[in-house]
Amino acid sequence: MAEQYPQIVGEDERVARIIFSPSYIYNGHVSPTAFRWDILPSGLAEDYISVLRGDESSLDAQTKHFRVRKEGDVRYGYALLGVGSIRDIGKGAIDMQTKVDVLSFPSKTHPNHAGIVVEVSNKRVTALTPVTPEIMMVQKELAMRCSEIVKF
Amino acid sequence: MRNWKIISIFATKEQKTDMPQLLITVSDSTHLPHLRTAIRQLKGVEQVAMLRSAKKRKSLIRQGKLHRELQERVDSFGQFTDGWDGSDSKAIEAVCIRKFKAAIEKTDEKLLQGWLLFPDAHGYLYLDYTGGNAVAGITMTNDRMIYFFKKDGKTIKNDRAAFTTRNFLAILERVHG
Repeated sequence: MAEQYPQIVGEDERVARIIFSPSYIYNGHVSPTAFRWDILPSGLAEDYISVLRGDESSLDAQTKHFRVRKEGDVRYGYALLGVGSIRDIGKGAIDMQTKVDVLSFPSKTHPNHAGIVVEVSNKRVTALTPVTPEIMMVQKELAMRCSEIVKF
Repeated sequence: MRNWKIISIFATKEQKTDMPQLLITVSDSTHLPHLRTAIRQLKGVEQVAMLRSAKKRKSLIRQGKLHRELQERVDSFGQFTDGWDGSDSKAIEAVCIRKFKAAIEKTDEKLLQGWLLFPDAHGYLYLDYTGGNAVAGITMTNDRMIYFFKKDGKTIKNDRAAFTTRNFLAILERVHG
């Protein structure tokens, strides 16, 4: 039976964002653009930045089926971020109109799936939202708050 | 033979023709005619010109390792095809790449310090900066730049700056200034 995760993502949890190389990592720095909202193959525009919770030792096995996205890229590893640190971005790090949270979005295959949710001026950011300085600032904060980059 | 010394030599490109150019600074302008004669005799030299005005001297741009790295990196992004980062990702726009290369060609090496170039799945380029007291980001599309910088507790942001070399340089100078 798949492991169950609490519906509320804990403040002291860490979440992982899968990083592809060399596109999103350079000279040891994670690109802010690595934290992006995808349009799923179904056409659905994600309204969160996809991350994984839980046991970090299982991430390699869990993501082995993730297709390498470009010839020459490798599944480099993952960046770890503290949930509390992510939520702090929404407490005035950008401005008072930008809110950031981490919510649970479990799926059958990934019960540990979660998402970083961003609201700018009460509008939830999705993959269809045009690039704005506020969104770039959130992405930059996320990149700077990577506490660890772990290679597969 | 008189004593004179070369103060500096650096390579750049001639602005109109894009041909490689070597700029040599000497200690005393009276020696320039001798140097010019000597250089003219070298194989492959198309033209020898002397810059005297302060205005022209200001236009000298130092280029080095950072220029090469950025050129190579942006060229590698030019190879991306649609779908390089998931099904919705777009190839990096050729006009954007061309404008970026033209802009850094006119950018002094010291202004490029601390900047890292990344691709953006929208088909854009993203220039990222982390310095001592500043962070910044510039998203470059075919026709505009969307940017922010935070410095000394102050935040500047703009989502509709035209993507021109002049505007590009102005942002970098403000971040480094």
